[in-house]
Amino acid sequence: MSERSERTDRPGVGTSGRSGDGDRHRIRLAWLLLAALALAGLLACALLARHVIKVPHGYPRSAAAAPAAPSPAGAPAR
Amino acid sequence: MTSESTVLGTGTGTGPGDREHGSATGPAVPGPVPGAPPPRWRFPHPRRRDALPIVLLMAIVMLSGVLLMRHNMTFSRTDELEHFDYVTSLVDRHMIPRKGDLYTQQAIRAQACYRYQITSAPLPACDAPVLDPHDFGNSGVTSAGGYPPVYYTATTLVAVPLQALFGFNSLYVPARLASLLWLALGSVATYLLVRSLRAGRWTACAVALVATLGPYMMSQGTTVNPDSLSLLAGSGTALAWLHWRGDPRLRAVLGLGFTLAVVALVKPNFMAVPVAVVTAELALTLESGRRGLLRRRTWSLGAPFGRVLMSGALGAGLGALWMLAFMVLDRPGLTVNPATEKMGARPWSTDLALRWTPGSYSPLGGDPFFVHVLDHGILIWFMSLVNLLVVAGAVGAALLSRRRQVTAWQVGSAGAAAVEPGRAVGYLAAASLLWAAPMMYAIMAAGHRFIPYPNRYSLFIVPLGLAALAGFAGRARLRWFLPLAGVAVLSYWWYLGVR
Repeated sequence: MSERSERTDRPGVGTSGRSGDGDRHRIRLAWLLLAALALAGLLACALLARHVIKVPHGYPRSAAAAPAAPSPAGAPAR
Repeated sequence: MTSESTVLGTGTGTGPGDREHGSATGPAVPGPVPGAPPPRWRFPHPRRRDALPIVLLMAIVMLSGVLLMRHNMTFSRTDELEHFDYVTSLVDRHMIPRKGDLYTQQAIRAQACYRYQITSAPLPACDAPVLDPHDFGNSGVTSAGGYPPVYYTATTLVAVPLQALFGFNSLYVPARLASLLWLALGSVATYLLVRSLRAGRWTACAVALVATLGPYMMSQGTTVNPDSLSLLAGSGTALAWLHWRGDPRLRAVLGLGFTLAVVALVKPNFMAVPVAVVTAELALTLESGRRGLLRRRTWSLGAPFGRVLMSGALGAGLGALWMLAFMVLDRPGLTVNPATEKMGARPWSTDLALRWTPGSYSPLGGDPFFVHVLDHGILIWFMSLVNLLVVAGAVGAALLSRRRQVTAWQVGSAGAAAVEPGRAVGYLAAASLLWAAPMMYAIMAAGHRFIPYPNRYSLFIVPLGLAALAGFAGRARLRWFLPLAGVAVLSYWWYLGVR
């Protein structure tokens, strides 16, 4: 018996089974919804973090406002 | 979303998977139905009835993460500066850090302002006009040069838009939020893995919460650290392996190989994952009794082991290639600083390898570098209990006899390709805990480190061990995870100020 027939005729791991087009669409939609949920959760967390995490005193408003690096990028130390 | 019976694979609609806790009068797991087709493992695509547990799971994990960050924004001792510097290097210098690179200004500015967990380390003031990298740890030189880019690239892709959208001062908070996202996704993957082993949705939710909400895992998930991907790497690998291992098509071999390559490229210690998968597959092959180790067919691409071996070689090979390329090409011979030189100077020591390797037997043990807010008795107790359950799941799966495995789910005349998924996950957990992770520890510890490797390098075993437990514990016993998850949530939130 070939591996393929083993896979389809016997119970076991890796047998994903077949599903129709409708099922495929629903599965795709389910994963899309999960991705949307994760994105919404991330945005909500960012909004919350913006309000509850204190910015230390003296921290420049943005990275661009920070002073320039004292040595060029990629320079080996010493 | 397929129908319940299709997804759960009972084929009869009367199987245990369709009920949350079995019937009130009958057994939780009924025996096989005579004449009915044997149940099969199906990929656990999320379904409508999973929506509420998944939403709840993500909400609890993400809210807990932000609460922890509210209390603790100091740079973690787990080399967070190095990891954050990698992210800022991608953005500010448009390159991955190389051996000998100095920290970026954005990285050291963030540490100067948010400070360091080790308070005795002197740091410049937050508003100092110019910051010199040499005033920071490791003499200002990154030790993350040559680290594989998967975590950092993914984190950057999330953090940059977040910073632009919400106007954060630097990428530090957004990068931590990205880590939290990976942790939450890992939690959902753990839920789906346990669910695919026929646990009820609320017990699966409880298992995922117990795996995630410990202080150890949350510490990793709320700092800039590749170990925040541990949960996702463990559960995702198990799902990919179960999904593709019986599929003889080339795309399945490549799919599993690509998954393992991505995992191996998260961090060097994740090279243990492909090794564990191949070992578990070998154990299943040998146990079936149909294919001996020395038979040619065992190793052929026509057999499951041969294919998984190919996938594992692809995954581990790409990971090894990345590290080798950096060792050879990245400024060879450059003297970086005494600390990193020391890391490369010590020769092989079998004694040290044997002393340090047991750290991997206890993924949630050792010194977790807790911040003060998590350093409480009940949280430590909870973490130790979960550690015990993880080890019990992995070792129990390895020790259980084959006779014990013949459950309603495995059913009758299963052949060599038919493996009970719970047992497969158990073998993966056992192979990870008892062989692959210790081996990586031994190689890395004895080869070039001057300090023991931390236990958190084997955190990917946590979801596997708990899933293995779920695979053979039975639904009734699994319900104990419900109060355990309750203890986890309540104690965790209590100490984070939600009273």
